[in-house]
Amino acid sequence: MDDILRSVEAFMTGDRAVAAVRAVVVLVGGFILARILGGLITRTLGGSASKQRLMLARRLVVYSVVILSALGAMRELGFDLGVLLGAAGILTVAIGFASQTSASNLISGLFLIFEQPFVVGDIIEVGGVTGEVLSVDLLSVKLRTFDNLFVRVPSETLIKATMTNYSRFPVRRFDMLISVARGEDMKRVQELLKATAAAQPLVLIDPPPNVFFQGFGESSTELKLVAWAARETFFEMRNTLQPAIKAALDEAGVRLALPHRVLMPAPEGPLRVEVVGPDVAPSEPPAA
Amino acid sequence: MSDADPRAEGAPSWGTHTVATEETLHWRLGPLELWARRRAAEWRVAHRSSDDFMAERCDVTRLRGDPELPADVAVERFAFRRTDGVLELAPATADRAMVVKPELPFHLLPGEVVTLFVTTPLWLRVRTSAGAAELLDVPTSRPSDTWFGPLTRPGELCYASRTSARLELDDLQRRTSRGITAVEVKNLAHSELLLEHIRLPLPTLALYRDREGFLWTDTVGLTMEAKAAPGEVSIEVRAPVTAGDTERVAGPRRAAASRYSFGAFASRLGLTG
Repeated sequence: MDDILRSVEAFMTGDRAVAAVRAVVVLVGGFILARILGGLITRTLGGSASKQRLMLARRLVVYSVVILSALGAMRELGFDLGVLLGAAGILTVAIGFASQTSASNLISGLFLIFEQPFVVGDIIEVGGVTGEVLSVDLLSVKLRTFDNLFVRVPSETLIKATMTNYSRFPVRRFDMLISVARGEDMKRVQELLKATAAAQPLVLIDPPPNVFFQGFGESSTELKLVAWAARETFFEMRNTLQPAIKAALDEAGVRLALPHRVLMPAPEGPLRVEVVGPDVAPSEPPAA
Repeated sequence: MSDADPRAEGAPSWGTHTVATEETLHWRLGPLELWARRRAAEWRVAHRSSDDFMAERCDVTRLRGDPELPADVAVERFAFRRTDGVLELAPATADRAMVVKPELPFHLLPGEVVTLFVTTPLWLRVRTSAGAAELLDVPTSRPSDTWFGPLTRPGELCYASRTSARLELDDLQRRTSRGITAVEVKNLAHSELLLEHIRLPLPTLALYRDREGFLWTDTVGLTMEAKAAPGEVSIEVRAPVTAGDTERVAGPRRAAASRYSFGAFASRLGLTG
């Protein structure tokens, strides 16, 4: 016990204790400075820069200060930084081989940051997942889906896969497929659809709504109504346009297509039709 | 659509109204109906617009108690420590620019100047007392949206006017729920100008009342200058002259820009040289 106490006393009164205290001070000071600078960047750039740039600038400054303070702390502890950096170089090669996936994601992340196919706040779809971009990091992109799930998409996946950005352009088009009965007057139906869409306040007047003939279905005429809306009101427009179209078609007496089947009698003779019920058994078919 | 002369029914009662506790102010202007009920510690406000955007009606009634509102009207509540009974109803121009078309596109030869007249729906701003926070800022009739520009950035989400710009003031159907704007288009370029659409910067225009009670906005001057970049027009905003004696009743929502460029998408606008 005495030996342990003597060792502690020797450490506390020796140079190594002073160096350790200095290292802790440098490290804690670095963390505090990083937080202050991060806050300063948020305050000064918050009004002008986009969320994406703000996040990048903040991370760059915070990580730089933390790394520098960690190096300073190690120097205080007596580490030779030149040797350390040399060892880090060799270590990097070894780690690089061992962590090819991470390195690939890192490079992909850098490409994503500089190419900017999307920014924080955009709605994107990748690999069947649609959501709002929460952050664009070096290794991955974080999304929040519409059903409030957190999804982490590796940067490499985003570089390789087809990605759709729903927020890139300010206006969006909604395509509505409508099948009307064969006998309807196509010109009248087209005009009715265009007029009804144009009367909806959220449907853009320019580009104007339009109706395209898509072809004849099995028992219908297929039409496609296209209507544009501002990105922000797209879903609201889609939800109001469809009931308005249905109401207008009903009011004008335009019949929507129902599937039809034509039954042809067999060549041997007419079809025999018989009404049966729970208490009435079907009769025997007549002998051929 | 009603063709009633608004002057026969009196000018709209813009301005300050005093409402007693448990009283409802029912205010109608054109297609818009407003209900504002004062209670001891809250205002209950509701509004709706009819589809007849050229409807002409203009009246105020006071209802006691809790009137039964139409089923499609949503009531908004605003709580206060104590309501003061003062309700200010102020007119305003639209909160976005509006794209207006002439009846038919026309050519404007070099050196020519024309004045077009347009009516656009007014907005209603409701405040509890002068200068206090706004309870409501709604259009008398909601115009359709339209996009002004290419389908990628840059461009601008505007409203589309449901009425045409006229070359003669007498051809306009004046309504108390709509503001009148005179647009002076000058072609100082060396080539003719095909005028298909005009973008009216309504949020930058002030409102004035003429002797008959109709509201006018500032006059907008659009000039296609000889040395301007393709698709660039300069905009000048000045108090209306055609309206005669007027009194300013509302300021612009925001400051005006002196130039407007639509560069590469000039052909979509029709203001092509």
